[in-house]
Amino acid sequence: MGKRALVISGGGCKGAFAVGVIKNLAANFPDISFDVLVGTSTGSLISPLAALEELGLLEQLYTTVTTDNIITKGNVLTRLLGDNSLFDAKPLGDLIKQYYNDDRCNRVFQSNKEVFLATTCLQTGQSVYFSTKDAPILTDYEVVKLNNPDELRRAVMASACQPVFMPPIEVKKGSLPMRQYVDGGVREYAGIQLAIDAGADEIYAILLSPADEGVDEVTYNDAFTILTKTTDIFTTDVGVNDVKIPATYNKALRYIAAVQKKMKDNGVAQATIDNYFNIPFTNPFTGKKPLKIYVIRPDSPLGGGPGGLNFDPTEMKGMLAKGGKQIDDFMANLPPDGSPDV
Amino acid sequence: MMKRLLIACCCLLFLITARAQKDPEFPKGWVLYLEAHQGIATNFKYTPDLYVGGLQLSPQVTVIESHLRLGASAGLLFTNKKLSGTFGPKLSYKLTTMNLKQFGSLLNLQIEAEHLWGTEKQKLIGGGIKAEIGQLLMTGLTIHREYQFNYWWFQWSFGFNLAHKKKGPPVDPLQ
Repeated sequence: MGKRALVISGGGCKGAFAVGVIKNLAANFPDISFDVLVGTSTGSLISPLAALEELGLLEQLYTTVTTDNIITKGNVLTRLLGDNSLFDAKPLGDLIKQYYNDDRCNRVFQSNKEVFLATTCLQTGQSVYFSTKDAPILTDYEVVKLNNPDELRRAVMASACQPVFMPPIEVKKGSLPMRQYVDGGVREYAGIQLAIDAGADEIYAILLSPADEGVDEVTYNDAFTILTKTTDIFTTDVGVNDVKIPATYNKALRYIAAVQKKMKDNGVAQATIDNYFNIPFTNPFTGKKPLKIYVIRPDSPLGGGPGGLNFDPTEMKGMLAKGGKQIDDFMANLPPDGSPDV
Repeated sequence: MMKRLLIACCCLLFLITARAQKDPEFPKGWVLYLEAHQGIATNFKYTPDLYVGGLQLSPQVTVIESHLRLGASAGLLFTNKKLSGTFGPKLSYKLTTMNLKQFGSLLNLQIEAEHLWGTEKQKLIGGGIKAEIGQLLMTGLTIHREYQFNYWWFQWSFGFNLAHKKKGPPVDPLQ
């Protein structure tokens, strides 16, 4: 039997929407539990606590934390000349040390759930997922096992650190060759493909931006606003591909299943069908059945400022409520057979 | 009356401190500006006006974060064909911070006040308005009243912070 996965994308303070989804899902559909959790950026702050079902703590964090609890801003010129990031991320480091204490981290390791935290390696440019369990064999990216609470904290921090704005992190500090890691959203905004490769055949993917961002009816007059907008466009494009590729893969699986069914309905023996589809090359569809990929995302932009770095408790409470409503509506509108559109 | 004044001062100090927490300008610690200044000294009666120029070193420490620095100035001064030394206290009060969008601060505008005693018996009181850029450079205009010899000094200055934060090893936010 396949696994069920929860995938949470990046989005800074918009993680409050994901917490609302998870909270209502747990309350209204308690039978839905997850074997695999994949987090990117804010999703990495959420996933380990969601694995422990610490939903009360998640709600407290995502409705009370302010920007000052995450970053400290300084003089731009002083930071650019003297530091490796525009903002000081020590407040976030202190928050992670406080809530990802050794006891919680050990419980994450001991749980039967696989937690993957998405990062990007600055030295290799590759996606690197840090895992709490022994890694599955994957081809498109690296999976590295975490061995102790300090490494788990450092992986959470690395995944949450947007490059340039926040510092890169050495997850395995002191190891050689030295590797620095930043937000996994640079390469993959939502690790849906990793969840598939980890054996999940039912995936709940919480994306923190709408499918259609709409049109900005503004005139862009200064370089910094254009830079921010351009970064948003890059991020959106990464996110689009993170859904499009698994969706195309799933369509191919459904097509194969439909062809096999048609052959069987027309009297072709199963052994003959299996032989026809047993083509001797690296086949990404071998042994795979069509997946159930549920994408839960807001209908309109959630706000939260550039990069989601404007942590406003009032705004986040609103995002949490929207997340709860979105999953309630989503589940109510699923077809009777539970098959999603993706 | 004094008690009310004291309470009002404490409230103002508290408000200043409370507001100060998010502003990165005038951070804790020291600055050490080496400034070159020049201008004119005039009593509006005799011509020509005298040239004034010199170098000044000003160590200051932030006493109210994001608002107030106190310190001293010491320097060499050339005017009226003579070289002399100057020394005295200085305070700087931040008027406003200019931010670069949401990325942080870029510069601050401050007023400064100082009293200087000179080795040629000068006594100056005055100050000016200055822009501190990147917590690294300072430029501005000053006016001093030289009340021993009854002159007004109008000057422009440009300075560099010798105590600016130098690039060190990256800080680990999890340590």
